[in-house]
Amino acid sequence: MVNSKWVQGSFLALALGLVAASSSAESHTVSGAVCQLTTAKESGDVYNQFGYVRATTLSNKNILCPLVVDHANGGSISSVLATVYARHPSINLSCTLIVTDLAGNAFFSQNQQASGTTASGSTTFSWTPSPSAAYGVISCLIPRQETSTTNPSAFTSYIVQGG
Amino acid sequence: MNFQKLLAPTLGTVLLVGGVVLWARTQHPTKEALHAPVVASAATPEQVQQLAGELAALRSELANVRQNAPAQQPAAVPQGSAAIAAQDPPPPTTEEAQRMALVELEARVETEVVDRAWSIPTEQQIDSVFRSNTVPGSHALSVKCASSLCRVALRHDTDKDRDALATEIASTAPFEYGTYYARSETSLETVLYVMRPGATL
Repeated sequence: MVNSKWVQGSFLALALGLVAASSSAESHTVSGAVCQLTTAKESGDVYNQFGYVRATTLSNKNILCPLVVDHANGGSISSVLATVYARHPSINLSCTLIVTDLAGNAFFSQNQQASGTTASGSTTFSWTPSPSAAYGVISCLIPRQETSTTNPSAFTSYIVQGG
Repeated sequence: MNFQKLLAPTLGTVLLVGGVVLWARTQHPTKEALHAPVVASAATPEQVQQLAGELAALRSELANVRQNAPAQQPAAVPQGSAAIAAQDPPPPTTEEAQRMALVELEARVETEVVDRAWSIPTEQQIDSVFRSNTVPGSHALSVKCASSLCRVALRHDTDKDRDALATEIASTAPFEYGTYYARSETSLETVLYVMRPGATL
């Protein structure tokens, strides 16, 4: 008598193996906590599970987030998704995808912006560079808090999808 | 059955006679074969000596070629699906695809019908960006808009001004929807291809 759980487990393993084998495009999900400030860090610059958080009313801040792609496997960047919290009603949270060459020279740029309120949930920005990119960064302006009691804006995570 | 009893020896006899006839034809040439022209004749001793000399020269030449040729690895024989893939040209690299994209954009801006309702205000908007202090150190040499994109030729005061260009204009209208950068390798100039909202490469 064959154990039915063993059979189910075998089918599950086989299915997972087939899915893994058929998806050749790589994908990297990265926390916004890896992003770098373009100016010196201050007390209002917070890194936590929400990525980079601008938790002060003092000023807006710019950050740069590196795009990660596995060139060893011939990878290129076919799309980028970023999850942000835009919570200032009049200052947009603005992110630009800048596709570059290996030397850092810009080839393509595209900007996306969002604004919101203290109660706003996350927003997703999406880019699909054409042709596919090899290198690049996401450059963002993160607004300051509206008041000391409102929720801050944040750059939480991003996904780099290969093609 | 009488019919079946007769059939077997009859067939055997026919096959035996046929075989004998065919064997006899191979042993004795036909009349046509006897009268066929001779197409090859024996070479004279002089011709044999000449051919031997040519052969020796060719062998010597081949030996020299082999001695001077670089060592080569035997080519791997692709098998299965790899053999099919090996026949296809490799896909362009990212850099090649980007160069082709710039050529396509240049061709498009030169051949598109001009949408004046969009191109004139957009050209003015681009011109005002570079006349203002939005992009210090970068100056518009020419601006041309068609119907789905604009081409902007720029000159920069310094390398630093050129390097800062993308960061400075990327979130400014009308560059925010999508801008391609063609950087000159020989001068401090850049050509921008500014996409109209909704247009794609």
